[in-house]
Amino acid sequence: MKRALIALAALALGGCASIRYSDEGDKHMVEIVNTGWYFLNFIPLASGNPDKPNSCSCKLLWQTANLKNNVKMLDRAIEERGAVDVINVNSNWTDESVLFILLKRHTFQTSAQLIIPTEEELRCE
Amino acid sequence: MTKKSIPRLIALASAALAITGCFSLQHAPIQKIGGEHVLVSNYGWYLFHFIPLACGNTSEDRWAPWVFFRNDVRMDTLQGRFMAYANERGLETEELTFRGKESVMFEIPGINLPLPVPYLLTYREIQLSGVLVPENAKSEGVE
Repeated sequence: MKRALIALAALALGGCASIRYSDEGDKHMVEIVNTGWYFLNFIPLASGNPDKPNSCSCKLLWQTANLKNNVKMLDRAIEERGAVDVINVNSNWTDESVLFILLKRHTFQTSAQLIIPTEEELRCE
Repeated sequence: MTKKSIPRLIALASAALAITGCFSLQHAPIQKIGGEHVLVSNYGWYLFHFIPLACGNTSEDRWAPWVFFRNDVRMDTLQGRFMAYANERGLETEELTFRGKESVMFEIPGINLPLPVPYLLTYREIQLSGVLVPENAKSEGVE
């Protein structure tokens, strides 16, 4: 039981990198979120793995929740979806503290609209 | 320095970092448009909502990451640094978005127990997100 609880806590503190898509109304939106945990405000514990988004993979003792990694994931999303352009790129971060400075959860979010040509447009080209 | 005092010093430094302020300018290249995504942010603490106590230092020739009794958590200071960076890189600015956060009920982070008096100690934060693109890149359809 104790081991299971420790494993659960480790998983919760592991951080997570994710890429989500929404294609409602012919608008192709992408949201990239990466979270990480700090001990005593600045010692990185773990954060999501930007090389393996949407998986249970995390990087220990490393802080990957930053703009560079989010844009790297955005570039990958552009390539995966076959987008020809990207507009309305917007990023922000939020911090949440647990027990004053003991633990800090850092979340970095980036959203953008992908311009994906329709099959018709591709045929015209 | 004794072994016991090291964790105490780390904890003190962490607390000081948490309650002073921090200015940051992050940038990353976007391969598809040949430009850069930039996020500028700053936060600080105020006494009675208006008297600045401490915040991140936005000066270009700064000697310390913080500044005391000066208000640098302003849209114009952040935009100034953003524009200076854009000029330095020789790129055009696009898609500028400000995001502000303010908390007037001081609460010890993570405890969710605010002091019962509002505007005693307030927290303010501003983030400016934008994209830098080569001149006329969008109109020419850079891919």
